[in-house]
Formats: sequence, C-alpha cells, structure tokens
Amino acid sequence: MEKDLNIELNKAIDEILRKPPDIGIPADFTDRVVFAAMKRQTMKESLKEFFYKCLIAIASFIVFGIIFYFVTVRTPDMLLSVLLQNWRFILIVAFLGFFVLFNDQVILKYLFRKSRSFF
Amino acid sequence: MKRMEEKELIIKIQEGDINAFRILVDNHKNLVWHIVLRMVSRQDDAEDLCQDIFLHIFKNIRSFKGNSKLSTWIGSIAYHVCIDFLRKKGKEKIIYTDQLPEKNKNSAPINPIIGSMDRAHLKTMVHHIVNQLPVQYRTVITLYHLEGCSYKEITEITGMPDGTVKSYISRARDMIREQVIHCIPDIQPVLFDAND
Repeated sequence: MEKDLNIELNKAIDEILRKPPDIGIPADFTDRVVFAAMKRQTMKESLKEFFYKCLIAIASFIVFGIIFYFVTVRTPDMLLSVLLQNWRFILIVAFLGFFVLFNDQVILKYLFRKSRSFF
Repeated sequence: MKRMEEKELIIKIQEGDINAFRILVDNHKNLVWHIVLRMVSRQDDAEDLCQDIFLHIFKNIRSFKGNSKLSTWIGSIAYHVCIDFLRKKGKEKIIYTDQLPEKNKNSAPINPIIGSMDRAHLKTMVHHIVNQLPVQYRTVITLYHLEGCSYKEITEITGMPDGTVKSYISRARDMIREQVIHCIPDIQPVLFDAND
C-alpha cells in the first residue's frame, strides 16, 4: 500500500514538474529583445561608417599632401617647415572635421532614432 | 528544429539578419525563461537576465561552432549567466560536488496542512518546495522534467558530471516527496481522488 502511495506520489510530482510555471514570459518579450539588438547593431554600423569615413579623410589628406609636395614645396624640409608653421591650423581643422563627422554619423543618428522610438 | 535549419539560421544571424534573430528568440525564449526563472526566482530579475542572455547570444553568435545543439548552447549561456548573477548578488552558495548538501536550513518551514487539499494546491506546494532547493537541484529538475533534456544535454548545459546530474535529480525528487508527505500527512485522498 505504501509502495503504491509512493509510486502515485512520484507520478503526481513528475506530472507537476512537467508543466510550465504559472508566471509566463511577457508577451512583448521578443519585440523588446529584437529592438534592443537592432539598436546595438545600428550603433555598431554607425561607428563602423564613421571609422571608414575617417580613414577616407586621412587618405585624402595624405593624397593632398603628396600633390602639395610635388607641386609646391618639392623638398621634405620645406614640407616639414610648412607643416610645423601651420600645425595649429591643421590640428583645428582636423579636430573640427572629425567632430562634425562623429556628430553627423553617430550622435545625430542615435538621437533621431531615440526620438522616433519615443514618439 | 532540424540541424540544417539551425545552421542556416545561425548563418543569417551572423550576417546581421534581425528576422532570423527574432526566430531564434521565439524558438528558445521558453527554454531560457524556465531556466532563469527557476534559478533566480524573482520575475523582474528574470526578465532583465533573459534579455541580457539573448543580447549576449546575438553579440557572440560567431562563437557557436555547431558542436552541440543550438538549444544546448543557449541553455548553457543562460545557466552560466544566472550563476554569475547569483554569485554577484551573493544570494546562493554555488557548490560543485558529488557530496549531497544538507537540507537547506535557512528555508522557510512549510507547516503541515490540516484540512482539505486538492491537486492545484499540491502543484503550488511542489513549486514552492522546488524553489527552496539548492540552485543546482532546481536547475537540473527543470531541465529534466520541464524541458525534457537528456542527462547528456544537462551535463553539457551545466558542466556537471553525468553522475552528479543523476544524483541531483533523484535526490531532489526524494526531497520533494519527503516535504510533501511531511506537509500533507494524509496525501492519499489528493492522489487517488483525482484518478477517479
């Protein structure tokens, strides 16, 4: 009799354990996760785009430097002298350029996305 | 989900296909939810952790080599994320040993029930008892019974040896049964009435 009871109790416990819990996963869970993943992916792509554009800007600067060298200065000493005399100007232009590019490619896109999701 | 379909799904997610990722989440959210909810018990924490787990999967999908089933890999990530969470919170002492631990002395005692009881109450009681078991016990019980995982899959998910998994399942069932009998000394009507 006790053996039957234990068997039945084990069966009842197994049956209960096979059923899902009363607290279910929220209905919008998939949407939330996918949205979060999309945000992350979009940010990653924005940063990648910014990085490639920076490389293009640097490459353009180098090409410009080469043209400037062959057309105007023609000696490494003169080129170095031009660069050292104008290093502040070059630095400010470079900084402004990268700052504007970063804001355009990353920050503004992020803010627009955020405002769209808010409304 | 068949292996070939799994492989195609993984490739699409690696290429950044969000719809493929949505399918993966839909197919495995219950598995992750059951593991996490059983391990951390609090619904708020469980929801946040589940989201973190899937984002972790999305970020690290390239590290899935196809050596195991996708569900096993996802289950393993869910398990280890929960273990890290519990360690940080200091909520559980995680013990990896074949030695069976003593009964949880800190758990709230379940007083014997005098009076009528039905299957619905029995279900609530069993879940309450399971939630008081050590975390490894409740995890293997959930994976074995609720998710229908084999011993091998549970071993791959949790990293516990095969023998430990079997002992934990057996011991957990014994502990649940002992607690139920302690709480419902006259369990017979509950068990046999439902079968009539």
